[in-house]
Amino acid sequence: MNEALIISNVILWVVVLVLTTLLFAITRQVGILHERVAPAGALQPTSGPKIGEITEEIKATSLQGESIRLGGSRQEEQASFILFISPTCPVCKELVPTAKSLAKAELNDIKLFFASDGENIEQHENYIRDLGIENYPYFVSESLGMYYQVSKLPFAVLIDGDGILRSKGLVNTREHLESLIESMTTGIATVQEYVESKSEPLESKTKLSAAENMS
Amino acid sequence: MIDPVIQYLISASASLLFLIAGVHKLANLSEFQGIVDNYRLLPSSLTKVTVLLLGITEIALCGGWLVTQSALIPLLSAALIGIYTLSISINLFRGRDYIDCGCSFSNFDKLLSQTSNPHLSFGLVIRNFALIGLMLLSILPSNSRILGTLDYVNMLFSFLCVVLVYAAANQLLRNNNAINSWRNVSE
Repeated sequence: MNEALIISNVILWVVVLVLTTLLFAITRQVGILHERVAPAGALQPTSGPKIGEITEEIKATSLQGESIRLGGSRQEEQASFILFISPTCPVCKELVPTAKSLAKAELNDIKLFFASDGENIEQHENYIRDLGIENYPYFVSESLGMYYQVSKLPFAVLIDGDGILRSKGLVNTREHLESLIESMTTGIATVQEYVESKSEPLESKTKLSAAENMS
Repeated sequence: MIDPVIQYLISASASLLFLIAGVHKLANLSEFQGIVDNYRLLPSSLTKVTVLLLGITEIALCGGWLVTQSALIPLLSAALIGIYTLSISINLFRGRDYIDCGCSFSNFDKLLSQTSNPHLSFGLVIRNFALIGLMLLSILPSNSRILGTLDYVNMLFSFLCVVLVYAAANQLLRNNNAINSWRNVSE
């Protein structure tokens, strides 16, 4: 009897040890995943206005009846976040609630607009009601889409308070939307630019410390 | 009353914890100076002495846990971790939760986990309270029972498990930092 207990005890310990090792390995893997999964940015087209340029002023009237100037040199505190959507695009429907919650979270910094095109105004009005975006200006304007060269939806454009185009791109997920805002706050337009800027400060840092050593 | 096996287990674990912490501090004096500076609790002229003192105290505690069974060692350890916890709490209260906590498992751990150092969080405060509680538990008087082979086997395995669970808990704290660094968007 005693012997059986001892053996069972040892077996249990071995199992517990294996399980804790696995637990540690899993937490570690989750940690490494977090480090390695670099945030994927929005796909940025090369056509249309360039990042950092002052945008052309476009006057548009929203379906809610507001007349608004988008872009152009101006002095505003909030950046304009224009999301191009369409009633016929399934991804847009999923992305709109995300865009709304993001705009709420960044209420002080960005103002959200929706843009679309098409003849059937009634369809757009139903769409606005379906998505519950009555509080956000919704434009049906062909010139807006033409100017920013929107070819695929959903597409987002971020213009800062001074009217400068800060980022733009094809957005499919919350991560993509966040990447646009992130690129405005950091001033880095693309991941490629970030990687380049990462290697440069390292060099200048070593130069700096070399200079310190000399002095 | 507490069983001597549990007491020995706590002593060995605490000893290892202080050994790693102390060696880490003494081996990376300048790095730790920066970390202590970041806590913004001491004038920077004092940080070097403080780090040196902390490192030596931790090594002394490491030896103390192994050598003596006096209640002084657990009390001192609890006080030391209490000071750390207080410093963390003050900085959390100030909103400086992005600073390096300085409580990682040294370079060995960096190599092991390849993930960044944990920042301050309430998880750390809870972890430290758990450590203090366990250390104070060992002050309870033990029943003097003669230990057999099985007891030593138990001690060995449970010691290994404690180390792994502690490492896993620390890793979870780091993962939490990584998750929190994302923009929080509540749907």
